[in-house]
Amino acid sequence: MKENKHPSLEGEFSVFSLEAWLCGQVRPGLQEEVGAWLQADAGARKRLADLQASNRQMLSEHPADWLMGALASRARTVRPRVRAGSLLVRKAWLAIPAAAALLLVLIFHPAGPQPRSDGQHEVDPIIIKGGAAATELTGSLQVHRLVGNAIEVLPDGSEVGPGELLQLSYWISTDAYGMIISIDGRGLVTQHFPLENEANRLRGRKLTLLPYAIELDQAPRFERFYLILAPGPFSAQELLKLIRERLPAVDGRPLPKLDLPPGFVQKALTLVKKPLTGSRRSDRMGRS
Amino acid sequence: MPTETAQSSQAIDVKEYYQMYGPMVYRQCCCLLKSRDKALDAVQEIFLKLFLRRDTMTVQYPMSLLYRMATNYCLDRLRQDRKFVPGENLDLLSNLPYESLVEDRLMAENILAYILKDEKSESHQVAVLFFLNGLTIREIVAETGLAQFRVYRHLERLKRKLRMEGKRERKQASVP
Repeated sequence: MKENKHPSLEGEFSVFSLEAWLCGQVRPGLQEEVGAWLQADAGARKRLADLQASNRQMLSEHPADWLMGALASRARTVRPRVRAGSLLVRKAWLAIPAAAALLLVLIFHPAGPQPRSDGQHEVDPIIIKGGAAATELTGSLQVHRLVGNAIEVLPDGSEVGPGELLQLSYWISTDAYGMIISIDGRGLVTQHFPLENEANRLRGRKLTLLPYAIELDQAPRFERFYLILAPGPFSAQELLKLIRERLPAVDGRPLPKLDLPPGFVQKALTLVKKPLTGSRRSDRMGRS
Repeated sequence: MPTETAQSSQAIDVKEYYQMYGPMVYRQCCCLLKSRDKALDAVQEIFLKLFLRRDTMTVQYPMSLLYRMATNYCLDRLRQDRKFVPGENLDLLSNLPYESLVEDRLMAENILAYILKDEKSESHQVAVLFFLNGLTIREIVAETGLAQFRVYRHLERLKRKLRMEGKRERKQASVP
């Protein structure tokens, strides 16, 4: 408990007034008194100087560009199927229960190679050799879906439909760099992380939910998500370009591993699209 | 130094707001969340909310708005934190111990528990400003526009209510 009792309930001011003074927003009725208080009280002047120094430090460590870059990446959409207008609402309903659900999943299914239905491992972690010591980099990617008021974690091969809202999360074994993409049944590659101007550094040993939801579009057959990891920095844009160039024709067969340069680790998870019904049914080429 | 800025209804310049008020928001979040990392996340969240509403908001006192947004965001985070125990976080209360209002630890715990309730009443707003943000009565009057006697009345009512709760809890605890 703080020991500094407030000196008075009526005649004094708190740090709040100093903050307001610094911002030039002391309320009209209090301006003169706050000014007089500052003139008379050396302690208040010292506190004001501390706040000014704190302001300078904060803005030098985290300048406005830091915030604007983060905001731009958080608020914009990658593709129209991510609805920007209600990101916050979605985040609110998805982030917390999904984190809780995912925590349970991680407790019972620790991160690591995920067995496929045929018993094989989807992707083996690559041992990265670089610097002074070898580092094992591995991770897992999870997809969460809102069902009514509940969140469910979708295992590999789950069936999903257009319009459903999903949220992605990842866990990696150590700090690294990465990106998350998906490839749909039409062969369209979508980058989910990082968004434009967003750094692609990932924090290790921590479950992280992407702060935006994804609404599935009408692409047919499947949506395959990839978590791509590297121990060092790389250009997400250049890697995305390379993936698009090397992507084989999507012809209905399961997608192979991505053809990535050496040193990258990839984890994948496929969601199977429910067939469309009625007049909106897609043909074999995925056209509605 | 200018002492008042009345903003027009034009779209908010979020970058300018951050340069002016970002450090204050960060300090407030640090103080309540007790973590620099969490505070930095909070700053992003708070300014993201501002960013998304920048074209539709009319702000007369941006500092007050952002201070409230920071407090509300942090309270939400504290409510969500399952590990949060009011009895172990009394240092969050700026105006404690204030002897005429708070006699003991139990009262302080009850005040913090009350503050953490998700309530929209005027009493709750006054309690947050006074106990959590550490504003004086005069500052609360200026900030909320409430008459001074109403601010006192809210604090007095809260005191009585929490005293009664405290007595009830003691009574229950003493029953074998």
